[in-house]
Amino acid sequence: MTAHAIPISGIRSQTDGELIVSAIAGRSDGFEELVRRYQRPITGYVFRMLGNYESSLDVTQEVFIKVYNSLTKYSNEYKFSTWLYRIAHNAAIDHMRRNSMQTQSIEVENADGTFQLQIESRDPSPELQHERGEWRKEIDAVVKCLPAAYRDLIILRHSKDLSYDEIADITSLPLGTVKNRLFRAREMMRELFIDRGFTGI
Amino acid sequence: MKDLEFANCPTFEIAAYIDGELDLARGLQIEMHFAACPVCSEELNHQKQFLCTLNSSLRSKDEIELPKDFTKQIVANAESNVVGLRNPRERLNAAFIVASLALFVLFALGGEAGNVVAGFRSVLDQTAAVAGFVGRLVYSFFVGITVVTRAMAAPFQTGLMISLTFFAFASVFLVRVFNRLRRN
Repeated sequence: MTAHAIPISGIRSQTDGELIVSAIAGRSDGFEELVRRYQRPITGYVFRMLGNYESSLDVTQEVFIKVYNSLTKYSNEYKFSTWLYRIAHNAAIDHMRRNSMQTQSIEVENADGTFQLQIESRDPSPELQHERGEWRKEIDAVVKCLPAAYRDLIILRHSKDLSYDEIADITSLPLGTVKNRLFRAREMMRELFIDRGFTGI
Repeated sequence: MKDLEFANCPTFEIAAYIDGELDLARGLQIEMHFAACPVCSEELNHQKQFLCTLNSSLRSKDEIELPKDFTKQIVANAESNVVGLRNPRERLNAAFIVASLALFVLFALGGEAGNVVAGFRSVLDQTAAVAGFVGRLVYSFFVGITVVTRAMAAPFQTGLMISLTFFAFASVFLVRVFNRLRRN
């Protein structure tokens, strides 16, 4: 090993591109820093997709193993984070297919291009006044009720703050479909909130 | 009447407008529409409020608890599953080491080495014989098919047309088979 150790503060200030170059050159601290940077957002995304903590840890590991093995194929045509989310998106969907979780909601659209609810929203809550924390719980519950194809886009847009273009790259969907599905997903969420007894949404 | 009046409302684009994902010209058009249409203007306010709630609730949720040493675990697993980052020179080195070991074994065998080489040669000869036989079999099979096809096509006098039709059908069939294989 000819490379000299870079102090941790040095590694932390490097860009993703620099870290990729050093990982390809065989420096494991370069890859480690990339993992450190993205492990939480990726696990968070996968967890929201799968709804199971243990599975989301397994899939996240799988994602980073794939990333490590394909680092040489990474092209800076995409942002590293977009590429990473794309791999995570595919891994999450593969996991859902392997475990027969709501696969039809990813693949089969209705004739008008919409998806149906896979899980029924529970009965309206008796409490109409909710604290901020309660709101989060309600929103989490409603996101879980969405068909996977809608949930995916809602998480990428609202939890990860990605642009429509980035979402289209990650999901391999045309931009128009992303726009359309996000609109329908939000409409579905609003309807679910109304079903649960929330007004003024 | 009301439905007719608002049939052209850009309801579908309101969310994209709030997200800042419409191009400038379309954005301006929609703003003019909002100024004139109370229904859309109300819808805009509702959606803004809803998206604000969504963003504030979903964005702060990256605080997922990870197991201790998760990073180290991932790095260790990735490094032990490595295939893509192998240096091409590593393969060359491995081949070189294997060849050296084989030579060393032959050297260590001394006088016995001749037998090993002879055994290896007879295996190679037999493999070549089997491969030759399979090759001849495949060749004869195709010759047979050609002869049978010609014999069957002989009664038809419009030979060229039949051949061309057969060729067209065969091409379409093959393209479909290849496409199906590629999709699988």
